[in-house]
Amino acid sequence: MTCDELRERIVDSASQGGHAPVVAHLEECAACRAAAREYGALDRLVQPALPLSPPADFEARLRLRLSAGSRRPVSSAWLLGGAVAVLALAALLAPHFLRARPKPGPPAPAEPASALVSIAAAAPAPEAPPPDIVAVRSTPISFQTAPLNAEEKAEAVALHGFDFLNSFRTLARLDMFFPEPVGPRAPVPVPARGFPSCPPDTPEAITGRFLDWQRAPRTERIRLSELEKSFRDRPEEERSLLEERWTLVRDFSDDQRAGLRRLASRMDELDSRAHDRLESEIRLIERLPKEQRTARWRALPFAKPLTGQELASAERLLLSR
Amino acid sequence: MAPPRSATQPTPDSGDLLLVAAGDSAALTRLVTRWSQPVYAFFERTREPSAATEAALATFERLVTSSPRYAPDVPFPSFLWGIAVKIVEDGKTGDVLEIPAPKLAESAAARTALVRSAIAALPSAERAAFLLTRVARLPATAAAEALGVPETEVRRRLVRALESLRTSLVPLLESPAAPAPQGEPEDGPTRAAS
Repeated sequence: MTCDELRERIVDSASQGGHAPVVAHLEECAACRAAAREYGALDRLVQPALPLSPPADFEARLRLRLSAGSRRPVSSAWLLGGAVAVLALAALLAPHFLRARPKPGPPAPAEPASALVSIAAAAPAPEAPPPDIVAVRSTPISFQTAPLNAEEKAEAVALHGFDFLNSFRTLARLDMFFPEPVGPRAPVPVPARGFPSCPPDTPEAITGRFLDWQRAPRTERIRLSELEKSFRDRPEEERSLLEERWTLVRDFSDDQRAGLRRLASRMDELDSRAHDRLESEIRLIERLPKEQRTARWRALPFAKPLTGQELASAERLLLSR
Repeated sequence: MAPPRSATQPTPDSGDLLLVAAGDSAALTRLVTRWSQPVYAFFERTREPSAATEAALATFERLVTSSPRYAPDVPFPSFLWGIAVKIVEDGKTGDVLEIPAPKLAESAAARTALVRSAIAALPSAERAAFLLTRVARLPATAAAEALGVPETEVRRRLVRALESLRTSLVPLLESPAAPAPQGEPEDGPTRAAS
């Protein structure tokens, strides 16, 4: 028995043939003994200690995708089921999370989104049509005048928070205000409930997203979709780092976020030497007690020509940790 | 992980897939309930969770769209894993991450990232054989059906995959640290010093 033959035997416990030749080879061949040991270690290494499960809304997302793929060659009955799922999802979610027109009859019990889609898809036909008009915030939205189709809904629920999408590129340019630069590194651990920028995953958030998407002009939808793609194209560790940064700035006002964008542009204009010097100075400021940071920041030559908005944005960032 | 279903084990899966082809929504729910976990786990060993979810969704989407062409004499597991293998083979081959030893020692997430990148860096044919036999836990015969190759070829690919992993995962094979499951409680915040 050759070494190759032996290794092909030991990788499959169901392989045919007696054990004697295998044992005889292993007794004589140190390399194959090492290989056998390490094959076992690799087996253990790739097994997760905890069971790996898909997200709870897996089936709901699958049904949305199937509904969106209506041009594919599947049976018309299946396509009808997908359409029913989307319509019934809107009908079932709206009374609970939106201010609907008063209607007689008891409200339906609240359900998680995945269960709603599952139930809706399994139903033979919708018994009740979706509400014709619901009001969200102060803007009345008509489901009958400009409804989203299933493809648009699938597109909408896959996007991260719009504010995050509008900000992540700026956050990537503000490395010096954060402990670690964006770049190759081990991934930031994802919190148990995910980052706040993640795509909507509750019935309320999904409904809100549908309504936001319904109001968004086509150009805005394209822009946000491109930002989403640009974000997803980044390596995993960069995405986690940017989502983690977002947790620090998501409560910033629109003015403060605009200040951050301008601040990033000013920093881009620095030559590498000035950039490195500013980074060193900011690292020193971050080690100071919070009450001393603002004065030290304002004393920097870089800060002298900044507008009040830019100064305030940077100061809030410096005081956030 | 759910136990693997062999090609000969009687299951209701084939019947449910035929019902799916006829537009039976409840049959799809049953298939998703039985198979989403092993399919997700299959992809999660090479991709981060959101990408693994996307790949698992794509697998089920293709399962549904190809259900009208399903012939019930084909074992359902072969049909399903054959679709998953196509998605693995369509995926690009990555590079093995270089992660400093201290980081590997302290962070389960870093060890998970290294394992994922090492498997993802395997040539697609070897990666598929490895995932089917070592993650989905299919016997070589069932893996051969899903891959459409002889059983001996599955074993050859598997040996090549294991030999590559012996090299790329040396830091973990030599390290006393435990293997790195996703979401291991020990992990906590693992920010490296700047």
